[in-house]
Amino acid sequence: MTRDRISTKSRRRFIQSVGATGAVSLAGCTGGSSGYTISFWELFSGGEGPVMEDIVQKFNDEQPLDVDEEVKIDRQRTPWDQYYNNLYTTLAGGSGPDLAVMHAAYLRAWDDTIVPMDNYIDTEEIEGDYLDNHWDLVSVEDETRALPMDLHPVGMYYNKGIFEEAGLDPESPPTNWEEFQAAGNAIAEETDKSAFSQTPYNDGFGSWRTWSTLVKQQGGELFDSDWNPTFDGQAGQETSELFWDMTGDMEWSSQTTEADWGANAFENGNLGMTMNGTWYVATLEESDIDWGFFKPTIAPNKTQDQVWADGHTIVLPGNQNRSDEKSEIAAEVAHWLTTENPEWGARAGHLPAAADIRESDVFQNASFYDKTLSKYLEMAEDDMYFYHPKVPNGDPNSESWYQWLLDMWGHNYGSPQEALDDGVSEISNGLEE
Amino acid sequence: MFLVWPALKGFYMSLHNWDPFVPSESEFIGLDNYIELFNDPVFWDAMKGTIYFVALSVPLLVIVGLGLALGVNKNVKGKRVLRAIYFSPYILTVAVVTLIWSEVYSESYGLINHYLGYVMSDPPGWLTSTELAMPALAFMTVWWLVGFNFVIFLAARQSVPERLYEAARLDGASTWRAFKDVTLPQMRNSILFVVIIQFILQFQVFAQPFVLTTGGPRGSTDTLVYYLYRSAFSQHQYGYGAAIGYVLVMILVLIAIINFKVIGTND
Repeated sequence: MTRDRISTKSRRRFIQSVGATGAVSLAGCTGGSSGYTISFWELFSGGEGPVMEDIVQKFNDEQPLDVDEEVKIDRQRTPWDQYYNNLYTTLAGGSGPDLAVMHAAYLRAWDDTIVPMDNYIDTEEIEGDYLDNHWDLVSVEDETRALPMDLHPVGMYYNKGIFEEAGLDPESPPTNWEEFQAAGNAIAEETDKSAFSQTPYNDGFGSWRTWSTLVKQQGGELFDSDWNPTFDGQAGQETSELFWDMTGDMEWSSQTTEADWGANAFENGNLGMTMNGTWYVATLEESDIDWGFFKPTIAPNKTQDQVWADGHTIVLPGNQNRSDEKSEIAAEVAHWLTTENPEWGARAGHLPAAADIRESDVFQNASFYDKTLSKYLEMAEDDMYFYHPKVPNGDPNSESWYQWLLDMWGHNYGSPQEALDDGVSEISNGLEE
Repeated sequence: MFLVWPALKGFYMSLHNWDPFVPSESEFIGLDNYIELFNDPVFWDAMKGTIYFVALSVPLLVIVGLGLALGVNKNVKGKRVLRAIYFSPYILTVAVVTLIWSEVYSESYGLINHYLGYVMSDPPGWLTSTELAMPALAFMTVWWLVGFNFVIFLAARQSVPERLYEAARLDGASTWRAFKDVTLPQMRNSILFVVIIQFILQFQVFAQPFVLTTGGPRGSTDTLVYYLYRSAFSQHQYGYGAAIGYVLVMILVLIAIINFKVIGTND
């Protein structure tokens, strides 16, 4: 990669700013002849955190950019549950970092807080470096707002030992509702383990990933074109009843809202199946259980194969104090982070956005390539993914938006319909902000 | 500057539909945030939750603190060690406290249910039951904070002149009578101080529901400050959050006035 990718538009503005303010602007806040320190905020924990730490270390050691100055990344990690609140507050204070990781779902609602990537890098030229579906993810209203880093859809993880104990073939996991139902019932009846948890974390957002996947597979729609919730249609009602029954009559799981219940149970070998994202592989690789993976296309009365996905992207947060030259360097750093690091797939388990990485040896030789990555790729090729909604307002990852799903799972409502009504009201209010 | 300016700015924000990125373009909406607040069922649920938490925790914080102080004031064996033990939880940060108690309360692997498992087949979910979650948070808070009250009460008890107890004994007063007529009146100011402080602190309960229950199950542990936090920092409604903050301040001022009046009339 070279500086040629810096867009002519931004070059012009850069020259203007130098002309207007002289050498002072060149020095920037941390720039100048001594080099640049690019502050980079991220939210990766669990197995992903160390991978990102290594990638940043590699950048700082190798100085891979084709620029004269020394460029250093100063990484700051904030836990995921506080990350966006901190980021938003910092941005509101006008002192945001130079780069930040942002889920694609935020790119529309947060457009006031970020500078579109194509202001500082020639996106037409680098577009070909990324896979088409990832590029679509970062485009909002025909504007490239960020650079795509990965897709992280959900899949179904299962315990092979429990399958065996229940008399099931651990090498032939379910492929449809009939088989999934038979497997769940066998585990519930033949073993003292739980059959299924909607999300290992037992949280609202995790529940939504699974619930919305099942709704879409039954032909349901989540929102209309004006962003009114429509997820309470027939598919939504039936999926809600299924959730209710799984912890009720079917006895597939405890009727609990305890945080991390599924994670503890699955990682201790007490849970047969759970639905979670690509990232779960990093945790499971460190556990002792013999686990497998299958595509989560198992809804009853399925009419289409649809699976929830979102993706990490890298954005340029707005910052009035940052010089244009520094923004251009930051954009180059984002391009390097997203295109040169197959470890992000091979170790952290995600589907990297860069086209070359899919073909790379590092990626294809990942220890879990056959188990998860190859199946996630097949789903991508078959166009199965639907994206977490890029809502115009509010926080699409807010736990309070989806708390009703957890309380539905724990039977804290009188009926699944009551929970669903609460969900429509909560999300409608959140979108009206 | 650090108190008055933010307080005034907060009030100013509460009268606007606040735009954090271009504050000067924030729309003035008068008392609309306050009106919306009074019609907001989540606000009232959070208010009820807060009052319930205060009602559970404050009396216990006072009574248990007083009981412990009077207990170790006697010539009991190892009272110095006991004093250190009673006070020690108070020095922990809320993060450590919630971590410890999540291990104690956990439904599936917690300490309490581990032992309950020997006597009952289906022990309750302490943090996952709509009835038990708030009492569980209140009990944890008493364990954590009672050490402060204990120290205040112990100091107050030790400053009561022994001659008053001698006089009471000579008059043939029972232990209970001495407590009622000597200890309590002599310690009244300390007790009222603790009551006021605890009302103010416990009304602002935030970290316990934030970390342990995220306000659930089904909103049963939602509180005013947690709702303020969600409105301002999660939903980005800064003006609305500021309005919640102002209502909270008014409640606390009211509580303080009532309590000071109680002190005033008795002195």
